[in-house]
Amino acid sequence: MYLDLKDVTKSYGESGNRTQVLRGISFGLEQGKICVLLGPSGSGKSTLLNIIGGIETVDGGSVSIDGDTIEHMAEKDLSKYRRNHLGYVFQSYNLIPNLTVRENIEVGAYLSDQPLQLEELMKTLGLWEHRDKTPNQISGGQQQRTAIGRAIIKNPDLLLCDEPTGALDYKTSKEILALIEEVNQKYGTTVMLVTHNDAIKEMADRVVILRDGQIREEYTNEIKTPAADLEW
Amino acid sequence: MSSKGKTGNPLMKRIPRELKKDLGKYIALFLFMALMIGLVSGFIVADSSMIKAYNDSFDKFAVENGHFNCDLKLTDRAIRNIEDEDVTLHQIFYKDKTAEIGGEPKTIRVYRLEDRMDGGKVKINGADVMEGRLPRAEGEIVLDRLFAVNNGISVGDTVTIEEQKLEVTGLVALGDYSSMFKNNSDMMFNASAFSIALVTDGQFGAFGNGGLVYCYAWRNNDQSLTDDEQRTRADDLMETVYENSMLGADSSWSPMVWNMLLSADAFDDGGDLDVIETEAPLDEFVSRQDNQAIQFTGEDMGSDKIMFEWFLYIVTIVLAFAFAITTRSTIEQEAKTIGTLRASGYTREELLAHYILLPVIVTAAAALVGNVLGYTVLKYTMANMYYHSYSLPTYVTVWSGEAFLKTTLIPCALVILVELLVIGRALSLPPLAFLRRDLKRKKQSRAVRLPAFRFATRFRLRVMLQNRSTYLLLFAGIFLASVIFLFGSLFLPLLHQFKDTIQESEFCKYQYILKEPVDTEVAGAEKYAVTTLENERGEKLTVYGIDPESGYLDTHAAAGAAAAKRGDEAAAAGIAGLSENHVLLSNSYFDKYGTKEGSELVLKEEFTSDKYSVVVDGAYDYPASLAVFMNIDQFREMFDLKDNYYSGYFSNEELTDIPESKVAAVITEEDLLTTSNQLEDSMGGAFRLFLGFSIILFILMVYLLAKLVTERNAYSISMLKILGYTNREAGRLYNRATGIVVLISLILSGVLGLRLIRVIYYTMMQSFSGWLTFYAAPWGVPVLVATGIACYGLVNLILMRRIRHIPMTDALKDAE
Repeated sequence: MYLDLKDVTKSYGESGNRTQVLRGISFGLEQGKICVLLGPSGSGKSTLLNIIGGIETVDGGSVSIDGDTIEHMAEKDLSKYRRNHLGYVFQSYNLIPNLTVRENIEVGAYLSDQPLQLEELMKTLGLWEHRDKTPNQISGGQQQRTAIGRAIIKNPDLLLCDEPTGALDYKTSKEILALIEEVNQKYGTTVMLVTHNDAIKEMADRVVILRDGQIREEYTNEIKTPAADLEW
Repeated sequence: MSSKGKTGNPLMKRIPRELKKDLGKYIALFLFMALMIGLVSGFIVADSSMIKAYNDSFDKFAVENGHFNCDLKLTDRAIRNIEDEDVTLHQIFYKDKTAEIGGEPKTIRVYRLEDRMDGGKVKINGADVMEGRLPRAEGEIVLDRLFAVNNGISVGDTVTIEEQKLEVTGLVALGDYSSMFKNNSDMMFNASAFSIALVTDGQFGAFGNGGLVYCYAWRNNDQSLTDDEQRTRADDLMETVYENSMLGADSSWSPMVWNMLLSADAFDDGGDLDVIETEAPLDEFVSRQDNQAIQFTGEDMGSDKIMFEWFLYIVTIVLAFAFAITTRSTIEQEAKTIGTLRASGYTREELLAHYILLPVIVTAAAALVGNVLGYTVLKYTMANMYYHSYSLPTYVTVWSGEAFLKTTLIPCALVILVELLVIGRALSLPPLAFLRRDLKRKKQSRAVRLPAFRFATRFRLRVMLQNRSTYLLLFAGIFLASVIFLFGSLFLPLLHQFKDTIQESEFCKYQYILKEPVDTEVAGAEKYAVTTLENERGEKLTVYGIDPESGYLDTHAAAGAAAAKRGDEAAAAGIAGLSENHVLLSNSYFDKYGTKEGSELVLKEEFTSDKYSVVVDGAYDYPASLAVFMNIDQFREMFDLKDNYYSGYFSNEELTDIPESKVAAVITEEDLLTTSNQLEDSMGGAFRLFLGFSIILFILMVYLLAKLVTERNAYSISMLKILGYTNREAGRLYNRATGIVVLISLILSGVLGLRLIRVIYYTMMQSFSGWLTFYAAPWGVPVLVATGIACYGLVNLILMRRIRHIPMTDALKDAE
């Protein structure tokens, strides 16, 4: 199993006001698959994604990626782990405002010794025409494409997407999902995608539904729906 | 898809864009730092070059290891005995003459050229001819360069001394007079009223013998002695000189006879014997290490350098904090991006390096430009400041790495250090904290409860609380600028006040000090006695013996007031003056040493181990010098002198009937004002520089930090505008909060700054001989506050412009 979570627990707050966010999460994911983490607000899906991304620690249980357990890693090792294995995409694009589209993507390329070919990637992302524009000169969808480009140019093993379409309209959301799908197919990138949009689960290989910090349902899609055909 | 090698850090591309975005801020910081570093660099270059020239002058001009003055010429035997101490003795006799220059009397200390120079060869204390040439014949004279500049004298001009017209053939700097101290015990030199001069042997003889001093300078035969060894040598030599100086050349008596004569009471009225009995033949003994005319310049240049360096470092640290806080604000704005980058694998160190790069580049560029300015243009400005104060020889620029190190590497290192501390701390939060914009380390459970003030007041208080770290730094910057401002604005009034006080407390227009008793017919002249003793710290004090019925000093009243103060009503009521071994001290002594009334004061002779213990009854209002006042009878008794002994006159009229040859010195108001005049003359330019610098620093700090508050709140200001607030109303809410902080900071800085200056002043003055009473002009703080408000008004205009330019759409966008 490429990604393996065992009995992961996490809580927030002080002793008297403690909230358990994750209550013993266990599941696995094979390499090159798309996994959608689905659940309502406060179900713990973003926390789980952040734990996998090494930017949040677990209280109990273990997380291993490609055989490396991350819960005992020091900050430096975690940075290295993120640098070598992960790409991150958030709901807000978090681009650097005074860098162009091309340069924002280069920010990701800098982290890799063998980044993907920049020009080709920009064409794949549909950003070639906009490569010399700054983020405030392009649309939200184009900004999210840029953020995806920044995440994948270093050719990560695992792409973590936290509500990547949360701030986008229907049409653009579908384009972004199709792009993620394309990245998965083209580069074999494993994708963990957090969403509260029920329709998106249809494009996943594996679906994990969370509620109140526990897995309510977990299954494999025998027949996936291409992102372009999703409806909601 | 193919792959290629690692690219350069694209974050670097932000640097020029960040610079362009905030060009005004960076230009202001750059110019300020470049100017400051340029001044300090120029100063260090000039100072190092000057110090080298000064140090080299000791060998180049064969500067004495010390000198002593005698009332009589030494015998050959005495000279041989002294030279047996492994020294070479040179006679450098001089005559103190008065010349009327610019309508005022100036003291010219005339030396014989041949005593110091033999053709082009230096014998001792040689002259560096800065302009013109040395005298070759009678009727020619060379003067000190600085004195000439201060009095508008040029080569070719004529000066009149003792009605003899002399042509100034050159302007020089003497190795033993880099600062123009007339007497070694003077608190300050005076290059406006006192000068050295060189004339030929013939011209020296052509002057009368009035003011003639038998001065002997020595050079150690071994010039490799350390400072400590030289001191020991000087101490040993003093004993030998003291013993041998009793062998006056005009006397044929042996030391044994002299001792017998001096101990005999039988010789009561012999004129010559009076001279010997009442005045030690050895007048002055000064080693090079204790000679202010030689040492003061070197010590001052050394301490100036330390002061300038520390000044640079303190201002750099304050500016580095301003840089750091503005960078921290950028980090707050870019928190989510930073979180994403950290989540993507960027390390904290990589981001830290990125965020401190621009401040370091600006500092390094300012340092580079500042150094170029310092080494080229400002070096001359700084050198001229020294040439305006001291009589230094010609200097050659020393290209040392010291200025570069101290004005480039250290400021850059300080900026990096402060940035690492502030930015490093800000970036040490985990990536998630940045992604959530949760950058507060201490979680505040609820907002601070404010009293039920009106809305605008509470709003401004919230702005102040929200920006407290920025405002704290603003206070620090204003405090620093205020201290510099107060220092620059209050020192001249302090000097003026000192002059006024001296004029008010002056007890006569002329204090005559005689070489031997001589009568005068001038009405109102009053006899007094005077000598010089040292206190336990080795500081010289003038000890006066005053007539109990003096018409010049009311010691009765002062002693009575002191008696009443300590509760001795009987003494206060029936006072007959100061009782035995009881003295009054000048108020300046109380101020400097914090002496308590009723305490014991031990005074000692300079050249012997004789000590005198007196009780301090109280203070006498005489700020001009550190002085001890006692009854003249007590004076005579204490120093074992005759009942009719006196050594001078107080008079409000010139004593025209006393031969000049009998007068050792005449102290006038001008002499008492020497210190303040010289300080005003040499430091006036520096004080104006301080004022200008403090105002620029003030404006810069207020502008940078107030702008930061505005930028941080751009979103809220935009929202206020959407709600219907005008630019002016929004500005009032934010800028007035800053204005209030500025005002409070100014008032606090004025009060605390004055205290700090007082402490610095008292500490600094302890290292000088004498005392200048501290005085802070009452208008100092109000003027500071008014100037600060005016400067803030200027900054406020710029801030209002920024507020007008904040678009309402800011509040409608995603606050990324």
